[in-house]
Amino acid sequence: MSDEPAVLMANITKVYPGNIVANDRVSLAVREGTIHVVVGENGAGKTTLMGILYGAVRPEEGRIRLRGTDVVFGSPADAIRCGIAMVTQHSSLIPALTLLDGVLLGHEGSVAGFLRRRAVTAQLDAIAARLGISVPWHRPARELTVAALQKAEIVRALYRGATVLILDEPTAALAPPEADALYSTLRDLAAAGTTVIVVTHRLHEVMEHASRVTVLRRGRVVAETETSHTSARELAAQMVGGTSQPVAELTRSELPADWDAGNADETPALRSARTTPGLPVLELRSIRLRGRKSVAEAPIDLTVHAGEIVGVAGVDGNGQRELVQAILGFAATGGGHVIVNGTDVSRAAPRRRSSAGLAWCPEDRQAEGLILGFDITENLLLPNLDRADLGAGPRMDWPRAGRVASEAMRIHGIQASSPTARAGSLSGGNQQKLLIARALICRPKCLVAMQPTRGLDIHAANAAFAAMRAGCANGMGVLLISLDLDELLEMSDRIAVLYDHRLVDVVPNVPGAREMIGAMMTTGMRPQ
Amino acid sequence: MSDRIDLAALAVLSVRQACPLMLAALGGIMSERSGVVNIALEGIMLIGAFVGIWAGQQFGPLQGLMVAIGAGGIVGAAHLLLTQRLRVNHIVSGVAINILALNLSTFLLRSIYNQADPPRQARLSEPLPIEWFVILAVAATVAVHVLLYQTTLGLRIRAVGESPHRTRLAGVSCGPLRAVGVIASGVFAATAGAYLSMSLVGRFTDDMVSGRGFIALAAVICGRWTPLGAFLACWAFGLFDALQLRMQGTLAMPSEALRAVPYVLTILVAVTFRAQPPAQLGSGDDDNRD
Amino acid sequence: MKSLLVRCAMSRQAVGLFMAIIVAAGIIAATGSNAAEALSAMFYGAIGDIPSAVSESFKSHRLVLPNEPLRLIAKATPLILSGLAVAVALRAGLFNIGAEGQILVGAFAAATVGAAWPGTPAILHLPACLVAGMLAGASWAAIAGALKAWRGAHEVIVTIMLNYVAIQLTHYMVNGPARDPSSLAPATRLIQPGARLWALEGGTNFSAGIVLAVAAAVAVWHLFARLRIGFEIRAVGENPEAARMAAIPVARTMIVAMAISGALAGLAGAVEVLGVHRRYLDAFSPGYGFESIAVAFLGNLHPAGIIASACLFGGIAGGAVHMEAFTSTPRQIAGIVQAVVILAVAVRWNAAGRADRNARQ
Repeated sequence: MSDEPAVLMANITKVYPGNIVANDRVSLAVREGTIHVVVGENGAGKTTLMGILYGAVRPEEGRIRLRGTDVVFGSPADAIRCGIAMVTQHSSLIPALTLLDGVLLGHEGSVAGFLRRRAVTAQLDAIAARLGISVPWHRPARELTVAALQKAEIVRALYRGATVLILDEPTAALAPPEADALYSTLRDLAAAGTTVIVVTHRLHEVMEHASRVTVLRRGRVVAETETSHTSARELAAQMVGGTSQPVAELTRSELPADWDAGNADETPALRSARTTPGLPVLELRSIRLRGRKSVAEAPIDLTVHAGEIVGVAGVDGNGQRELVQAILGFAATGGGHVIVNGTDVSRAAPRRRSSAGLAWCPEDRQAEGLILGFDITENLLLPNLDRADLGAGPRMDWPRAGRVASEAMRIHGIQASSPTARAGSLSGGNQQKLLIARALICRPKCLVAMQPTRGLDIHAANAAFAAMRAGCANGMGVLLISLDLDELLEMSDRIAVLYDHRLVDVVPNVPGAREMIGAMMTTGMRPQ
Repeated sequence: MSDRIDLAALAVLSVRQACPLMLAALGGIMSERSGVVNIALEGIMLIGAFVGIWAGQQFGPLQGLMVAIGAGGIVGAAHLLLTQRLRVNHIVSGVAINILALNLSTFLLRSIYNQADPPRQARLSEPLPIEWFVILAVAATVAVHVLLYQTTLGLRIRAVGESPHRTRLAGVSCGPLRAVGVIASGVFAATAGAYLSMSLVGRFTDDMVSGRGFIALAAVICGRWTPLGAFLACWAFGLFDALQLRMQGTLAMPSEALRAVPYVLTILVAVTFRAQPPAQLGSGDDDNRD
Repeated sequence: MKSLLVRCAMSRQAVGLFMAIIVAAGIIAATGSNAAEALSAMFYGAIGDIPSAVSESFKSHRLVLPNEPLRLIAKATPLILSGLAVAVALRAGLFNIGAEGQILVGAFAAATVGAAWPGTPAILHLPACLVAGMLAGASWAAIAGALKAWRGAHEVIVTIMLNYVAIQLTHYMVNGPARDPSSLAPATRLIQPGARLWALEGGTNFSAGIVLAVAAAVAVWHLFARLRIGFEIRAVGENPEAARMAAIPVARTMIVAMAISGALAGLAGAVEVLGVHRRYLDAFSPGYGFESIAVAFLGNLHPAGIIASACLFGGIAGGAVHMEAFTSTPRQIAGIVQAVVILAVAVRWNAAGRADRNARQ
């Protein structure tokens, strides 16, 4: 064995159209048979770097060496040939195909063009058995959980003879026990000589499982070290850089000037201890969520009061989407009542719930939030088409709407040349500001925000939270759905935990709540 | 005329009527499974029908069939180029090819054969035997079934239709696969057209395909994008057609009602089985970063 | 900014047309005819001999109009209406391939109402016929819209199939229950005089239908520029998921868009029978429904553009007939030109659609 690292990436530079520098002279050295973690905030350039290593993205500059040999990848096919495999954030297995067909794709091992499904299944089962897992090879990928798909992808990588395994945010959608199981599999693989590269932003995973860590910030390497020589706190500081401050300290300066900030910079724990809850603005009474196959057994009761933020925690896929759809009226529930500001809207269409005082920020800004081809004015009016004062109504008053949009841009600090700028031309942070602006423009009683900081940098995230807090100070209630427990703990007064489409409990956000919430998220039971 | 003889005759007639549908439907399956919508089947059939007759007169029937198939492949390649490289909407490209084929075939018929007035037609002195095409249709159905589900190429074609992006991530390049699917689709459709003109009728007339390409498309949908399903659907449609031809005047119900059956049936199937088509049907070469 | 985008779009349409003429010339030449002669015959057939008409007017001291421009407008009338139909549906993200079927049912409904109730005053009868045509077209198209909105059935498939159902249905009606026994060809009875659109004598087919077509274009412009429902239609067409999350009733909007589209196509059919044929003739449409797709694209989905491109295609169609008579080049060259125009304009039309959106102001 030589001293050459298994993977060496040197001086990688990648510039996307619009002069966005995703990687700026990034270097990465990974030793054979280790777990190496790349951490960084969203937008730090981690995924781009891994895309380059996998041949899916072409760098402007830089070299890649595998075990001392220079390689140039024109496509993933080249990388696969060199023994590199990638398990992406979203499964790369095609939903309509069986797992077996998905594994075979691109590496069929066929004889005279014909597939040898039986022989390959035997091989795959052997590999899976070695890892101590089992995989239902003959079921379509769309029927399986994220964890099961990941197992299949890891087996696929080994079947293809991968010696370098890249995992991009592998635990994003896993419950903690599943994540632990995944890492134990990865440790076994590393011990057997496979080189594992994991991309994540979860620092505790780094500290527990990795041997070495590289920190990226804004496209540059800011640190590379043994995990034994660092701490989670130090890594966090390196990730966010010098401008990093805890969320609460930032809020006042981030706030739009003419918003009544109230006590926005109080910590939630302090605030909830002090304030008496306001009137209920959103009440869920005995709501039964409809899962994919059945209606949940246990009904959900939850109340959001004026001026408070209620967080909803849970591992992805435990009913968050269904809960939101039930509140907003986009999907039928299995029974129960939704009451907005005293009005029962259980049978009302979304538009009527909106006029009763409910507003919402959709989860995926670009796919279901904004219409990227529309300008700022049009996007601002989109959910407010009943509001004549904004220039909407059966006949549109575009000049008035343009003035309203200019005003909203000023209040919320949306940076764009004019209200006629296309939403697609805005940055992610400004898109989120626009989404929040249009939800708050009709002064709702209750805001339902789904993952409002997804894909945002810390400044943009803080601006989003600041706007919500300001709304709370003015008597709005917020239901905040997030997969990021840290964010919920930072923001919420109380936290509701979902498990398997039912509500485990609602707990006040007091110091030490994290462990209890974590246990509830994974077991579905409140620890005694 | 006993009932049994009538049934046998009906069966034979239904196969004759279904045969072009089966061939064209295979074309539809190959194209759509690779992710390219092909409503140009109608136009490609028409081109196959015309070229077959013209080349058949020039070089002999069998050679004519080959030239027709080649022409279908070329039109398929044009559809491929338009939809993938030039990013034309698949439907738009298909509509344009249909308009072009309809007008070009009539234009050439009139220019080459100097027939200003109807009936405009070009004849083949010795038509090809119908049995050839029937055997071909059955064999091709089995072959496409095996291709799609038992071979590497078929797996990859199905994958591209479901998700070009993920297929690329698996190290498979999508362009050549779609090329195979769409060009094969042109070949099948042209064969179907050549059968109509060179074998079933023995001559080419204006707009002689008269909607069969769309019925084939309907059969693809009714057969839920599988070769065997489409085969059965085509046979059923052929049976309706045969019934309609046989029973003209003897049936209480108007023949138009029978002729409308495939279309109504297709609407019903499209309504009943939603979300069945390949997931990324209609995408260009480089969109859909799913 | 806007004028620049419009200019870009214009030039792309111009390039498409230019390419189409080159292709047509090539095909004509390849068949051994004189392309220049054929194309100039086509040109004169399209707009007529203007100089001699002008000199004639001066000599005789009264306005002399050549027939060709009138014929051009007559041919453009149904194309404007059906082109608008395709454009409205496309703005909602729906591909209405079924304008042909909607034209047929609309025409049949208008002819049926028009032939009934002799003695009804024109002020009631004519609007009744137009409304009948629009309602028939609207409901035929709304089937596809509803199946798409409620069941996810692809509108392209459904509208294609509905075309054939409409062809069979009208074929049956006009050969059976609704047939005028005194007519040789399959046709309905003649429309009552009070229900007819004003039309010019002399075989140009020019009728008051053009007024209706232009009015419809203005209405469609108003719909998208000023009305909330037009805004909702555009939102649904741009991104149905985002529209749904913004509490826009997506299903209803789709159905409404398809119904408006079908109403316009039905109006095209009604105008043809009320202004030109005076009765429903079996299979009277020479494929307006398919030509309208070319018209909508060449017009960049904008009402003014659609009027212009419909006139262009009307001219090409008229010119092709003239060309066929004088140079023996078959008139199908017009269809070839159309197909090439569609393709040339549709190349990367996604980008063009975006430029078009700025036409709201």
